[in-house]
Amino acid sequence: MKRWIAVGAAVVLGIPVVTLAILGFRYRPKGERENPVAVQREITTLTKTRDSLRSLVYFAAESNELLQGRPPGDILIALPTPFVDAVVRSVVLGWFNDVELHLPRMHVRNAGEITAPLGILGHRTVGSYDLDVTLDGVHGRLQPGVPDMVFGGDTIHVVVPVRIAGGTGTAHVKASWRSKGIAGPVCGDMEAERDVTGQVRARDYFARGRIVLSAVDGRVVADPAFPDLAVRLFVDPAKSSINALDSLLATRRGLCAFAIGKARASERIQEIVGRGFNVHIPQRFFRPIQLPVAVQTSVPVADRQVALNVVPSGLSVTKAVVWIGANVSLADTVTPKKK
Amino acid sequence: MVERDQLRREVAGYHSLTKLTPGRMLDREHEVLVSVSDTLLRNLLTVTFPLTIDLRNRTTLTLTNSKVAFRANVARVDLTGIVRRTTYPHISAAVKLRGALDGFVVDSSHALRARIHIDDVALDTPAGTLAAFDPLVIAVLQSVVERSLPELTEGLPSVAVPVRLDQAMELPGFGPEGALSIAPSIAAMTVTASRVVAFQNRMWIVLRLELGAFATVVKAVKP
Repeated sequence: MKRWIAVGAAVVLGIPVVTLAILGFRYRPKGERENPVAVQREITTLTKTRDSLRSLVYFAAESNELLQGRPPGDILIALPTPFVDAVVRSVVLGWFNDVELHLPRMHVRNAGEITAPLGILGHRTVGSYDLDVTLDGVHGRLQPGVPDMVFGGDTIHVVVPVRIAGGTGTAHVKASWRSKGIAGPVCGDMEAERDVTGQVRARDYFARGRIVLSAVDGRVVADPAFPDLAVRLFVDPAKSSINALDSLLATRRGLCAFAIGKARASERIQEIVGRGFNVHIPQRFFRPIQLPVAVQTSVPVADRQVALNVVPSGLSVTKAVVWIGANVSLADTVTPKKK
Repeated sequence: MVERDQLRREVAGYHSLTKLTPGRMLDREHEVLVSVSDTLLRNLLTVTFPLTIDLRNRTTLTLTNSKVAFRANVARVDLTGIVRRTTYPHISAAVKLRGALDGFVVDSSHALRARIHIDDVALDTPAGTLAAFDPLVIAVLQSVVERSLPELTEGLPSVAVPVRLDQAMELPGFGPEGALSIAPSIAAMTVTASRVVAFQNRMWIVLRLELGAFATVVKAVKP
């Protein structure tokens, strides 16, 4: 009996020992044996080197203009001013990207009476003219130049050259002549219609305003403040179109030609169109800019979405950097991530 | 030796930091800095605990705590927990994984993520058998954990920095109002994690952002 107990105990104790011995042999560590004195000496040398390097690095960091003026916070985002400048510049150019100005269809009318010296009868009304000009399809294109930007605190002063270029327009002209008095039986009435085409005159403007940087929802937002910009669209009628209208009106001779010529239809059209047309560019045209890095209010961790309490700790604008900071803590809500 | 290895890493880290002159730290026109405190990242990691990872040889590792320290240009992460065999003999030991954050990427959800890379495994407080076998238990479990590093690294959660990085800038349209009518436009932006510097208990991630030109958004016309 005792013998069996001894065998049993040997088996019970032996199996784990043998198993551990086999596992220990199979997974024996690849440890290295080193002289402890040499290791200690190296630790002393490394500690001295580490401490001296640490002082150097800390001094360099504190005197680096990039890291000056940063707010406190668990998360800091530093946008160097040349980066902000480049992004804002791109957006300012983007404001005017592919901007077409389309004047709405409009009517302009000019009418009057023409008098002429008729010998002993003196000056007499010989007729009246009526010019009805319908402007349609007048469009111009806005083209931005290189913006001039000056940083000052949280404000960027901006001047953007804007050119109106590359537009055309068409005016439908209805010219009518009604003879009066003694010219009536000789000249009669006359009506002519013609399309007059024209080119929008290139002209330069300057949009002057400022962009104010602020922190909104953990993001740097650049809010433009530009006064309304008024530009004027001038159309130069094409010479060939005007000549065609003139030749249509110049089919009469003698007194009639004199009277109709006094109406100076082509000149009046050029005057009408030459005054230009106002185009109002409202403040809302200058749309806010959201800089592309922001503090998040939730974050994926493993298989869930963790909500965060984000408390802004400051916006600081130095010569070198625009800083935004936030203190972040875990909120109570943790939601499973969407599959 | 652990102390010496840590010192070696710190010295190498400080050496690399001394080479970062202000001019070389950042390409100021195309790069931005995101800085995050070690406390915040530790809190975010804590959310995932306890975390159990299956290793080789019917062994599991349960992580229960973490320590995050950013200094000497090393974004160090220490994870602690327990490693145990799930079959006979049911041996176990306390485990400490020493590693670092690396492999920063901006993923498709615009989040900035990093992986934990384990450099070193240390075990102590063995249990599950006679005290006489403690060194053997440590050796066995240490070896299992070391050989399971690929599975272990894969099983560790990635660390997301709570920062959103847009991959495009959008300008809304305008009008039609008076003579003005502007279609919305968009400029693509590529964002890449350029390099990471760790010091003063903070991790500083340099991100490179390249903004394209604005182009008009053309609405798809339904046939």
